[in-house]
Amino acid sequence: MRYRSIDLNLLVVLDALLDDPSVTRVADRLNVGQPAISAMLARLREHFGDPLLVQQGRTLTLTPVAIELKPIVHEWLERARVLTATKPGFDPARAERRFSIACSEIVAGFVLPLMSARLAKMAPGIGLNIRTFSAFRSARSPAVEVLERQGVDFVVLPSLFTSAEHPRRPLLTAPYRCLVWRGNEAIRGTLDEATFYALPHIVPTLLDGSVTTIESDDALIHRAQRERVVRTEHLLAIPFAIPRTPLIATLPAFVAERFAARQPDLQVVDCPIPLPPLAEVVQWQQTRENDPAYVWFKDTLLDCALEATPAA
Amino acid sequence: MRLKGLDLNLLVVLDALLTERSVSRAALRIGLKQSAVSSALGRLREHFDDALLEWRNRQMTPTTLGYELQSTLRTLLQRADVIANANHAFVPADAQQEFVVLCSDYVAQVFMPRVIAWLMQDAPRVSLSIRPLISLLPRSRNLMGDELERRGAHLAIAPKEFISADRPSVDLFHETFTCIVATEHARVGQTLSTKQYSMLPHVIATFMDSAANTVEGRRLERAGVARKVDVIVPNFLLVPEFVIGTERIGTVPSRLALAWAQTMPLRVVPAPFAAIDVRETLQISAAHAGDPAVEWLARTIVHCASDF
Repeated sequence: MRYRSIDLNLLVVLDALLDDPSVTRVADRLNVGQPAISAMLARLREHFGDPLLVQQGRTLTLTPVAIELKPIVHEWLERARVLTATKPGFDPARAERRFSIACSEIVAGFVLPLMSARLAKMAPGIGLNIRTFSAFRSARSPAVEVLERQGVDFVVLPSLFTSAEHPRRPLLTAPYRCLVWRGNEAIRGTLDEATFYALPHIVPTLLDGSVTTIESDDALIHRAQRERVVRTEHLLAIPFAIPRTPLIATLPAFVAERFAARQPDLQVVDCPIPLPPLAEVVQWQQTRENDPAYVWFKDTLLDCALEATPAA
Repeated sequence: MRLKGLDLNLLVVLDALLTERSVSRAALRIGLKQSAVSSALGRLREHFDDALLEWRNRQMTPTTLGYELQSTLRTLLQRADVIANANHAFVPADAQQEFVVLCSDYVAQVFMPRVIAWLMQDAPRVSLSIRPLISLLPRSRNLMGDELERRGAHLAIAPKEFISADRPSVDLFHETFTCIVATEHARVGQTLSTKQYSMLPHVIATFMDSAANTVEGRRLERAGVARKVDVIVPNFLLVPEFVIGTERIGTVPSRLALAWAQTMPLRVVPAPFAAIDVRETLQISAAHAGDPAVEWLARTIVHCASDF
């Protein structure tokens, strides 16, 4: 098989000869006998109608035609090398597609920006379509709803809401801490249990207000999260409601700390009540389990989640 | 006195069970013992001849009939609240009820903190539940329509074009749109040309799948302005997270942009198209018309908007 009468394998030899014009050394380098290299040089000379390498004293030098060919051949071989090294499957650098992901604002606001920065660097052709769950209150679980009915690629949910019918992996875990106004006089440096229950709370919700992210059947916590409270689906608006009020927001530590870093009138204190940490799980389409694009996206996402929660 | 043999108070238990999907939580919610809730569920099951809630995947899940009953039941109980409150003046300082308000994340950030601060002072024992507008939007017309009632909400704050004309409403405040870029953006200076706007990548906030489903998206589409969309997020508050440190442009309400620019590495640049003006409007649920508590909350919200 030849291309336009030239054996493309000859270009490997040509590149080597143009780089280092010595039949002996090229033979060594390519691990071929000297007579074979000489024979190939003869065919190259015949093809290009030019001697390419000429004897000058004891060394070979490049002819003008050879000098002209040198960078062109070299570049072509580089491309050939990249092309032939491509493994079957997914190349993020070249992929042109959009992944959709349904998740809470915790993940959308604190993990996915890291993901989009990585995409911009490693996979500029991959777009992100992010959704939340607010619209769903269906008979099925939200995981099943978004994966099966809406065809969303990935879904991230607190572990309690995952579906057994789809592949899953833990994405992140985070302990809870409390975000409060720095001027809150009932809290001086630390928050004790009595004050935690005495003050009003602002509580993030999911699924159109139907659930809170803190999963506890403890009656006191339950009351603190339900009575005399502000419940809001808009997690990212929470820090703007706290200043100049006694409100306490019990949030994943990395989220509370980021909010406080941006708003100096807020402070983070330890939560006086032992709470199970938030555990978010990623799920994806069963049928795509072995799709290399999915595997790459999921692995990158897991990496970003680790980066977002250094304390955990 | 019973209706078709059913103790109507059991409906309150059923509402709590369908909402909480757990006997223990439903019990906490309505202040009954677990055993009382279990036996109430037994009687409800017998009456409706249906399990109402069943175990699926280690979770209690409403049956088909359970789901069907849920929204009707909620409307019915809301009407009962109105009847119960009729002719009772609303006393904010003593009130303990929960108000449900639908609004965008934008309204939740720039406006609701005023309402919350007001409630903390005047009605410290009420609860406020702020829920998204999002599920209003797939339906193109009469968006507010039955949504308020179906989702058990008392009030909604939404752009005028999304509210329905057949329910009471009040104008609150208006808003314009502007653009944000990263502080160190190399290709955008003090202004943004139409050409730059269509060449550079965008992060857009859309309630549903299409860019046209946003207030500014609809208008841009009509004006023939195309955008190269890199990232789609479900609300405005996520936009800056995907603008900081990138080449992307975000098109957002001006009040948000100005607030973010104070604390985040962002610059505000005027949008290269004619001003888009959005009028945020308060809509009251038909199920709660005449409820003195809801009327009090509506007046409070209008008052908070008066100097906004």
